Amino acid sequence: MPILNPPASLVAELTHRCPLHCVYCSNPIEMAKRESELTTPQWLDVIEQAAKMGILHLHLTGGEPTLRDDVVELTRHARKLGLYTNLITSGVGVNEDKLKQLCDAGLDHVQLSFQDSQEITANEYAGTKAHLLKIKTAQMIRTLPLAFTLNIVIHRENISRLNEMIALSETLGADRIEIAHVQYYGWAFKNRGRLIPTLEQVKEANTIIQNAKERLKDKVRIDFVLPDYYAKFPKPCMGGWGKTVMLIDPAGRALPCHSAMVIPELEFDSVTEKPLQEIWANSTSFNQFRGEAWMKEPCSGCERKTQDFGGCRCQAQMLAGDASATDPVCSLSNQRASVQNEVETAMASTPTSWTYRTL
Amino acid sequence: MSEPIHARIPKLIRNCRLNQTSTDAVLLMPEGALKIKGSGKDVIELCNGTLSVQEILAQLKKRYPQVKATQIEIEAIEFLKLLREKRAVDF
Repeated sequence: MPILNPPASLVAELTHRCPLHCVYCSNPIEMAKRESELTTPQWLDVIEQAAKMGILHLHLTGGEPTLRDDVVELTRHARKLGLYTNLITSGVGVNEDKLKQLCDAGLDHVQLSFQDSQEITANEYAGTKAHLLKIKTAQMIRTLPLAFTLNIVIHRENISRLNEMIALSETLGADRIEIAHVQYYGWAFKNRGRLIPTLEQVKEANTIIQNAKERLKDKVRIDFVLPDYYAKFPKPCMGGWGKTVMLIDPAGRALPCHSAMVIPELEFDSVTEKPLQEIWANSTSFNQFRGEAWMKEPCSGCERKTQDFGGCRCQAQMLAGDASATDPVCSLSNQRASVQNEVETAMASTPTSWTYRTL
Repeated sequence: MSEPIHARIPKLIRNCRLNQTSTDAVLLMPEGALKIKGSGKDVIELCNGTLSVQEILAQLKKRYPQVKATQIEIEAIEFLKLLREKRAVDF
């Protein structure tokens, strides 16, 4: 057996509660209720175990992580133990005082997401009046010594305003802009009929992003996440299953990725019952798709298997009904045609209403 | 980008920091981490936004008089380029 390295990152979903109801939220459809959330001492202990394992990054996310009263305490604890701390926030309900406290506690990096450049549609996708509050939060973040990434999520309905969204990010002083096509998991999967872009839109967005990268290369870093259903090869999901990331959901379940719960054959261990290291090394869910032994053709004989690890297991489950299948977005998958059907169906019949994220 | 590399002034990106554990040093940054070996730490500490590459090389030569100057020059510049590629340092 090769030596198992610790994950580089621990994703801590502190809560699934959120003031926003985004139509493309990646949280699972069955979310953890407040009553089931881990306590502060439990989270402090998880963070301590993570640092001892050699985990380097802690991503505090949710839901909206700042809804937890202990977010400052958890941040301070993590930083004291040497972890690099990242807060992934909607920017709603975070006042200046809380941000300053987080900063004083040693927070390194904030990620703030925007739904659009224009208020009406931004609020429509978020299911609440969030846009102006986000702008205020961004302005507060920029007055503090924090690394600041602004996330832009694009899809068929807002992609035509990509230039304006990049301009907004520049105005708000982001150090880094992450432009991501919606990934079709969780609530986004439910709404994909309205979210999947056209091929022309995807091409146009690529050009805009290339130009922005060139123009801003010495000022702002731009990262780009491709739309899955148009890719030739699948993404190296999570950098490989059970390889670089461990996610703890609000109730303490340890997951290999955000949406692993869609795979019915998996059972998840909880940090309330087992040590983090034991879960990482021995749990069936982390070992299920670790390495290459689980792969079938065409993955098992493919030279790309060490690059993309067969793609995304959840997508294989959702689109092919088999979590061990080659990611159906792969051009080598015999399911590729069904993905094409998905895209064409989405183009042909645009639903008129959204399914909003609700707890 | 047109000026020669020696005149450029490397600076660690915002909130990129070295973390020294008992065994090794890790450079932590918003998007990842880099294991740092040996004199890499010295190079990173000198990327303070005030020293040029030329001045950083001079400092390193002083710190490591036993190492050939040309070797320092080649290795340090290569390392700086790697840091830039990994987006830990701007210059």
